[in-house]
Amino acid sequence: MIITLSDRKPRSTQALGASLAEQHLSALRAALEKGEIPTGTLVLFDFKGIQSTNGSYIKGSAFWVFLCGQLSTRHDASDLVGSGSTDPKPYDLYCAVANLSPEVEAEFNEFFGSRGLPFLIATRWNDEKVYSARLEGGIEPTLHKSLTYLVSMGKASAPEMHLRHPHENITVTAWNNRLSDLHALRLVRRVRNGRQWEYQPVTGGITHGRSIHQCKV
Amino acid sequence: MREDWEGVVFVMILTSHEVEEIRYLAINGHPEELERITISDVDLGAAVELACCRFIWRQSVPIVVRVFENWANSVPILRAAFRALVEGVVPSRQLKFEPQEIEFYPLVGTCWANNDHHLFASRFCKSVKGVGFGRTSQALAGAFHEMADNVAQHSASSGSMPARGLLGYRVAQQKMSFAVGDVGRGVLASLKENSQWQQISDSGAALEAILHQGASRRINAGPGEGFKQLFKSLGSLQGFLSFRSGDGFISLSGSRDAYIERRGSAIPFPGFQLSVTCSVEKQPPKNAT
Repeated sequence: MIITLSDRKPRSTQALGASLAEQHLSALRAALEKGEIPTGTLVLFDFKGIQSTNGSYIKGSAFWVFLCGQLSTRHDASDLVGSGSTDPKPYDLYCAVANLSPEVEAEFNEFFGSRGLPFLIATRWNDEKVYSARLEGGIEPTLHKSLTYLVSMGKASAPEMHLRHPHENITVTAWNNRLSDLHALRLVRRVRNGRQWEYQPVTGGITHGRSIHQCKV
Repeated sequence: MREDWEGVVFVMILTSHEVEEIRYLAINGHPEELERITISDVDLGAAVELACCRFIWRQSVPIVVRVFENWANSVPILRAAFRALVEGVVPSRQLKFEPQEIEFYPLVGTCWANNDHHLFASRFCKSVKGVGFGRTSQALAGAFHEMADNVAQHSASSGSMPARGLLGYRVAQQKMSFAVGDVGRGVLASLKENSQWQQISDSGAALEAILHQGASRRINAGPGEGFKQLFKSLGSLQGFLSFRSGDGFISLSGSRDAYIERRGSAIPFPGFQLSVTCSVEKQPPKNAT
């Protein structure tokens, strides 16, 4: 699902403030409440034509989708959900952004990086799918390494990661935890395969951006 | 305030400090004292605060409203602020993108982010740029937008219409002010929506929390972003910032690395009012424009 911000009303080259973010996401929220958005949908925010943004806008748009996705992975989600109509709810969503100007990308990096959280900038996509993306923001080095392994394998369960990377000296349980954390960070999807979860990167080839290498979480 | 030998009080430029005294006289049953005050000018933050008082007391304290109207007749900035907040008068579309020296814009309902508001925001940016702020004007415009958006986001409980509010700016050579005021529930009641901030018991602490700890009514959404952006936009500029809500106030003067903070209690009054004055000069502005 692609949300092209420059097509949203009110039209502006500046994506500023929580109120504008709420307006831009009103149709998505309504569709989610009606159950019209399939589970596991990746919402791509296309910032083409947007010259500037700020933390409040990011928080009310891309970060809102990210938080909804995170809540969907938590067993205690019902205790964490606010009563407001625009508070994040547990919806199994993934998020990526595209066409960021340098100023907008810097704002995203500051927002997600300061929270120690990663985000994906789509580099190749069509209406159906994101084929490749760049990882930016912040992520723990161990999770970063685990994601790199998973990207190279395409898909894997925790026992498969354990078998493939014995030199890491990590137990199956620890692999399970790491993959589960990546799922909570909305970087990988997972499906049941027998007794195991099988994990797969949320987009095709994920490369690692400059901010990830600079990040010390 | 300064009193002369005939018992008439002259105030050259009314600031937030004097507005506090005015609120005290009005609320503590001495509104007739206000009739002895003559003012020649009002700074921007005080104009927004007085407009909020005028709006709140429009029916309950008629004698004060009459005094305010007398002042407004001789002080154009006050007249403009009252017209915008009380009558909801939007600046003329004829102004379009021309920079202005002083301008007010009313926030009414949820539909303030319309074309008129965009024109107002553009004029602010041009006006600030025109008095020597260069590229910083864009960042200041972003911060002003954030402060205004707070009225829409936080002045009323979730799901309710936002409270009425007022935006204003004023520029002079190498100096600019913007102010935002609303007559809503105030910062303390807003934070009480979030269980994380339940322990806060007074408006002064609530102001402290939103300014310095990123406190927000939003549950599990991380720190608030608006005030972070405000301080970021000011950068190394010398500034004077004033925040008032409920019975609390905080003022900051200096620049980002070394703000001098004053915190105290105020006469209880609804809503949240703030003003920001900054200068490209090296000395901090002693007062608002």
